[in-house]
Amino acid sequence: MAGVYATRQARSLAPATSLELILEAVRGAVADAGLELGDVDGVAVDWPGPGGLVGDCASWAPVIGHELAWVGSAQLDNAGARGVLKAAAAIQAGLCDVAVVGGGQSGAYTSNVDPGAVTEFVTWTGASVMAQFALVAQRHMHEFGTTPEQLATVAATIRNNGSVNPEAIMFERGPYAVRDVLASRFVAEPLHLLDCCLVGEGAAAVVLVAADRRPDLRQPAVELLGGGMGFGDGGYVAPPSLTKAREVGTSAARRMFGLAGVRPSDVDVFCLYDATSFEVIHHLETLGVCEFGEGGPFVESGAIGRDGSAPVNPDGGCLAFAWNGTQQMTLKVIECIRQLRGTAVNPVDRDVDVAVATNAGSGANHIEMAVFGK
Amino acid sequence: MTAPFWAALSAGVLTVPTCDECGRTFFPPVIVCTHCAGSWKWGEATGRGVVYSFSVVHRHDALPTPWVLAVVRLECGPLFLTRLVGIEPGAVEVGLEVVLQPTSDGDGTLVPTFGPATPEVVSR
Ligand SMILES: [Zn+2]
Repeated sequence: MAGVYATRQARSLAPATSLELILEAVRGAVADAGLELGDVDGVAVDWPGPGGLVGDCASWAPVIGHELAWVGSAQLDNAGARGVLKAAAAIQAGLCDVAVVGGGQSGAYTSNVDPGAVTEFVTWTGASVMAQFALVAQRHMHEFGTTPEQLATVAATIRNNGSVNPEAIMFERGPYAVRDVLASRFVAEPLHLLDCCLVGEGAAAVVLVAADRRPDLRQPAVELLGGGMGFGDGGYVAPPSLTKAREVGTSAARRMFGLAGVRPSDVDVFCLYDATSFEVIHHLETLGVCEFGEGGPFVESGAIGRDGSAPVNPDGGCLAFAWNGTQQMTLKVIECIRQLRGTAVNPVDRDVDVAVATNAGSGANHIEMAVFGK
Repeated sequence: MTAPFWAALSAGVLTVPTCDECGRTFFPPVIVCTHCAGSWKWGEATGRGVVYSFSVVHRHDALPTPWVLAVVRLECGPLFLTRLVGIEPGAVEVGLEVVLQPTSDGDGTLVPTFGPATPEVVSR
């Protein structure tokens, strides 16, 4: 993992265009690696237009200045753990040597996020993204006695991290207590407004290189140690189910830790998908950081704080740092790398040798995760 | 593929894909049985189920809030995404017995909402 770059993140970045932001991120990540744009021969970055073919990574070739050896497909393949794993696989297979993964958006989103084009059996219900996540959380509360206070503990902890991160959209908006989260209005029960992530804009990119390029690099090397993915169904097709969420995540975690040869207890910092406060509990259980059903008491113990045994989202996560569409996933990877390099804005209170990033979505129908080390 | 579902619903009947080979049901429909990859036909379900999970929705662009989004475990097995009607949001709980109670959507088409199976739990 040779280079990283995140642009400024904000609720709105207009009049900057998506292309301007993405170019800044791509150039920034390449420069951070100590490489030139012309060194890139693999691209997993959605082309935003104008010009080129929107969404087609091959449209980067004229910008890079030469033919590309490998491109990603689109959207989720070009972001976060999933994008990094696929680019690393391409490098390892010898298909390219220097790959950039990322993207961004400006002016694309409103405050009302709906699941988009889904089947006729979902559309009529009016289920929003947050309501679908709420269904999984509610079932967890029913099965295990997880409490609103435990969810709010996650939200308050991560929001407080964001509140002291000058790069965060919600900088200086805290501090938050559990009662503040519980006092915010409901979006979709059991989720309060402060249990739900931000909506904003920004861009991010990371650069991966083959091992034999390491001598060229400007930054201390961070290695991708392993990863795993699980897909239960197409996005928002089937009703969100806690059972399915558990299945797809558990096998992915087993694969990731097996590839890396590390255990959950070896991980020093977690950059987890926090679309909602509950998702953090779901991911901690999925990763095996605590037992299934134990996530509520685990987070309530203080374990996920920057001084805890399993620090989560020290940058403020999607709850308080940034959510910018698909590329919030890449921000998770970048925070892992910055924590490993020792350049994070909010370092955790321990030496970081191993970091984990997770992405997920569609209620809980898919999950992707990667583990990084020095 | 899905027209028979809506036709049956307009007659007040819930149908689910039912496998020709293994006899099991699933939802939503896909081209083959999700249990054994066999062929299937729409088969009548009882319309009864229990609430697997739910969310009282307080913020929405199109529907007057609050309303209840729910996942119902149908008697024949599959989970079914729906809205609950005829019940106070505060009275809904996981395990509540519900039954198909189609309602008319904005444009007059019937949609497969569910309501409480026993009238006494309409409010709490
Ligand atoms: Zn079958």
